[in-house]
Formats: sequence, structure tokens, C-alpha cells
Amino acid sequence: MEVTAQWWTLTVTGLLLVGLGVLAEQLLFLVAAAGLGAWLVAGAITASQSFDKQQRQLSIEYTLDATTIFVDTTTELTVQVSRPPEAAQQPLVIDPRLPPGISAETDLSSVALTPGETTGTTTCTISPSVVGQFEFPSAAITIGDRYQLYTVTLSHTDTPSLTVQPHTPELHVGQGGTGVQSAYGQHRSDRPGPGVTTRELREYVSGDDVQQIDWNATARLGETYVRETEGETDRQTLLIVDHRHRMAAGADGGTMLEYAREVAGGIAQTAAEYGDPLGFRAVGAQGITAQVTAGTTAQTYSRIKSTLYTLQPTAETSIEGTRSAPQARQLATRLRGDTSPFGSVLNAYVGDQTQYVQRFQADPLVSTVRQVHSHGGAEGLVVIVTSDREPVKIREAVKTAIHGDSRILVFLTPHCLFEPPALTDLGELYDRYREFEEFRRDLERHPQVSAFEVAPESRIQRVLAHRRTSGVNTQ
Amino acid sequence: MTQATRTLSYPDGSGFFDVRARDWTSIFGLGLVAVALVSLSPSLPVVSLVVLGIVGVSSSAPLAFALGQLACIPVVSEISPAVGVAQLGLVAVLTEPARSSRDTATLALTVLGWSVLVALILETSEQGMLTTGGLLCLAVGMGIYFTYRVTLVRLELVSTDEPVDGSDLKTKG
Repeated sequence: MEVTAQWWTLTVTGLLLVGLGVLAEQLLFLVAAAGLGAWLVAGAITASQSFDKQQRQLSIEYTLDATTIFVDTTTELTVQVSRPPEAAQQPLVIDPRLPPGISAETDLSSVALTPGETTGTTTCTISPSVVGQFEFPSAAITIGDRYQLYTVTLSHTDTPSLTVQPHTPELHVGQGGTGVQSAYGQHRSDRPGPGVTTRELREYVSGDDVQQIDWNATARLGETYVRETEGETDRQTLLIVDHRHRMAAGADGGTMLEYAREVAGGIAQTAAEYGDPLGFRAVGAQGITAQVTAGTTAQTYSRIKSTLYTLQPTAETSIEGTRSAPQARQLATRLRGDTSPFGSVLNAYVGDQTQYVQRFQADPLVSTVRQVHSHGGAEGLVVIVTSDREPVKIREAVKTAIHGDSRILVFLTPHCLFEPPALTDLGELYDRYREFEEFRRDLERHPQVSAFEVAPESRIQRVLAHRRTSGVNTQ
Repeated sequence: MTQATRTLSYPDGSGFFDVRARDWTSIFGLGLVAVALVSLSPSLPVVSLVVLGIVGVSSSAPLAFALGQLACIPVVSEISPAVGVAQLGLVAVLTEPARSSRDTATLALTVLGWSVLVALILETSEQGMLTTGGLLCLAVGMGIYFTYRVTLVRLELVSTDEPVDGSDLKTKG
């Protein structure tokens, strides 16, 4: 609660009167000061009550024309304020604010209600310049009392959020160049149970639930038939998104990470629609950079989506002296039989196979999957979104993720399809795509694994068109 | 584009002076003051008349009340029934804003508060004007501060977390 200039005028006048009364030894000065003091105290008490009433009865509604828009597009924000006539004696000002990253295309003015006014509206066209999920900051409500003595500033915290998506119109998710509509898909329990999808129509046997009898089929076939439906279950899903430096490959606005974010966002959205428990891990250069515990609340899905928008490629890290498995094998072959001190020292390193295990453990993606696995979070569906940069480690991560009845979905951004077009000729590009496709199919050999490519649609179509014109077959 | 912030707007005031500043009750109250002062001093000083005239056109009712008290000073020498009548007339001026907005709570609280404070002044006047003035300031200050703290709690602007430094309750606004 703050005081106004008028309050200060009366207070200073009152103090002057007290001073004069003391100096002149005249009681009437003090009586005058007492009148001003009584007015200030009475005003404070009634202002306190009116502020409380105003806070309880004031209604502020934010309306966004669209809650999800693309970056650099516009939407209309409307703030509507209303209060009942019995709470309309005080003036008030509502000052809506925009989050950083969202600018106003037209003036966003405050809503000011004078005593007696019950409604007010302000409208503004807003435009986001960056991708992300934006929570509108609290609006400041300034209320004055009716005698212009006191004001109070409150916050209105019930504000909307705006999701700003990047322009990725060229998203291709598929297998061998053929797009798939829903990689996540509906899920069945492989057991009969309550559901809507018919599993089979069979003759009634003793013990079947009478409610299962399909009367149409019974009438048509002359025997008692029951209809069994697919049992549908909630599927625990874990989403692992790689945002290491390698995911920065690609043109501005179309990097691997942006495509990965789009796919992961789609998975999160679908899981939310099905009500599946969804957990999340983001993998950076040093390991897990963000995680959300599996849950089915709207906040969980929303938090996962907003975390996705904050992901940036992490800085590249290199471990001094690292080598790939083939390189180590090659070195071990060359050193075999070398009895020199140099050879025997090196042999101790390249000959020890446990080093590979340690190196896999050091790989952030593998260690993330392993960690999740050890905590029992890899049951159900594990979705890995990464690039094809290190196939051996991806294979290891997928192998680690397979557990019991779990299913693994791997979304891979082929490096060859994100390189600048000018640097590669189509023939070479196609060869590299074939290598990727072989790797993808290799991953799919395991019955519990499905692997998909994620790439710009136009790029993959160009590669496939080249295949058709040159008459090469990937099958 | 920018965010345009507006300020609290009140119905238009007409500056410091307004010939129609006082309502009929206040004019009646000022009439009572004039009659009381004439009864106390038939040769009512010119200064008191001028000040009462200013009270009649002063836009701020509390300031008009204070000015009205000043108008009484040249005439009033001791407490008498006529002084009481003059004070009633001035209270009508003081409570004019509450009356015009039909705010009976503020009206009643002002009259009650003023009565209590005047009683305090009369009770303590024997102990010297400095003590009386000090007690008056203390009473008003405590009244406003107490209301301020109650308002913070009522509007949930006080943090209920334990202060880490052992200081008084932290306030959010």
C-alpha cells in the first residue's frame, strides 16, 4: 500500500498544525490536526477494505487468437477487465506485459477504469521473434482509493502461455525414403480387453461375458457369437533427444536439432493425446542436460515441450587420444609381435577390450540409456532422436535400451542429407544415403526396434529422384 | 511499438478553488460556524471572515476543515458550547467527500476517530502542548501503520516464509 501526493499534503499540513499548536500553545491547532489525522486513518481503513474487495471481484481475462503460432507470424492479444458495479467505486489501471522475445506490432496500452466504469479492454497484435514457449508475465494492477489518499499494486498471475514453433515445412519422417504418417502409432496390449478395436468374432463358449455377445452377428449366423476387442493400455514412453554439437549440422533454420525438436515435439504431443506417461532426457556433450520424470499431467507434457525449445547444440568436446574400434583393432594388429618397449606399452592399451566398454560408458547417449535402464525407466517405449554420426555407439545404445517387452523407436538425422548442397554431388550423396539406409535396416533387424530417417523432404526427394533417373535400386 | 502505461484517473477536479466546492450540508455547517463565532465575538474579525470564505470555496474538504479551525483561533479563547457547535459545523465540512459518495463507513470512522483524538487532546492538555502534540502524532501514525500491516496480510502481500536473518516479516509489496 502506497500513499499519494494528496496524503503527503494532508500529513505535512497536520504536522505543521501540531507544530504551530505547540509553539502557540493553542489547542485549536491540535484539534484541526486531529481532524486531518482522523480523515487519514479512516481513509486507510476503508481503502484497505476496498482493495481487498477489488482483488476478489476483479476479473482479468487474456485471450490469444492462437496459442500456438509460427515464429515471425502475428496473433491478437486481448485483455478484458471487468468488475461488478458494487466494486466500481475505485479507479484502477491494469498494465499487461509481454514476455521477452515477443514484441507488440501495435501499441499495448494499459486498461484504465475510472470510478463507475465496470469494463475495459485492450487489444494488441503481437509477434514472436524467437522459438519457444512463453509465459506471459503477471499483469500489474494498480488500485486507488476513492479519496486519492492510498494506492496498491497487485499482480495478476493467471496469464496464458504462447507456443512459438519454427518453420519446418519440409519435415520428412520415413523409412527408405517413404514417409510414415505416425511412427509413434496407436498401441495395443496384444491381449483382449476393453477397447474399441475388434480383435476377433468367435463363437460363444461357456464362461464368456454375456455383454460381449454380438447380437447382429448372432442373428446373421444363427449361432451365438461374441466380439472380442483389443485391450488398450497406457504405454510408458521415454524420449531421449541428442543435442550434442553434431546436431548443429544443417542450414540456418533447418539444422538437425531443429528437425529432431520437431519430431520429439510430435512424439510428446501424441503421447499427451493418448495419455501415455512420458519421461524425457536431453543428452549433451557431458551427459544428461535436462530431464523430466515420467508423468501424465498436462504440466509434464508442457514442460517437456518447453524444454525441447530451449535445447541448443552443446559445445564440441574431444577426448585426447580417442580412437574408434576399427582404428584400435588396426593398431593392435600392427603391434602384435612387437616386443619393443614402445610396442608393449601401447599393446596394453589397444589390446584390452574392456576399454571399449569404458568408452561406450563414456558416450553420453549410451550412458544415458544405461542409466535409464538401471533405474527401470526403459520399460514400454524408448524413443531415441539422434544423428547417424557414430553408428557403433548408436547400435550400443539401442542394444542397451532393449529390455523385456520394451519397444525402441530410433529417429536418425542422416548427416549426408544436412550437408550444404553445393559441397556434394548427387551421386556421392546417394551412395552415402545408401550407407545410412543399410545402417537403419541393420538396426531394424531386431524385432523390437523400428528406425526412421528424419530429413528435409526436398533433399531426400532429390536423392530418390537421382536414384530413379540413374536406375539404382536400394532394395 | 511500445507499451503505453496509463495512470489512475479520477473524476475531474476543478483546481484548488471551486465556487461550488461545498455541498448544502457543508454550507449549513459553515453557517453554524459563523453563528457560533458571532455569538462568541459580535465584532467578528475580518481575518476570520476571509478564512471562512476561503473554506467555502476550497476544493479539498480536509484542508477546508483545517482552515476553518484557523478561522476560529482569533475568536475562541476557552472551551464553551458555542465552540462545540462550531466544531460540529466543521466536521460537516471534513466528512463532505464521504457523504457525497454515500460512504457511511468512512464518515462514521472519521467522526469516531476525530472524537477519540479530541478526547485525547483534552485529557492530556494538562501535561503540556508538546506531550499532547506528540501523543496525537503517535496515535495517528500507529493507526495508519497498523492498517497498512493489516492490508498487506489481507492482500497476501506478506511472505509467510521464515526470515533467514531473523528480521521482521518480509513484505512482497
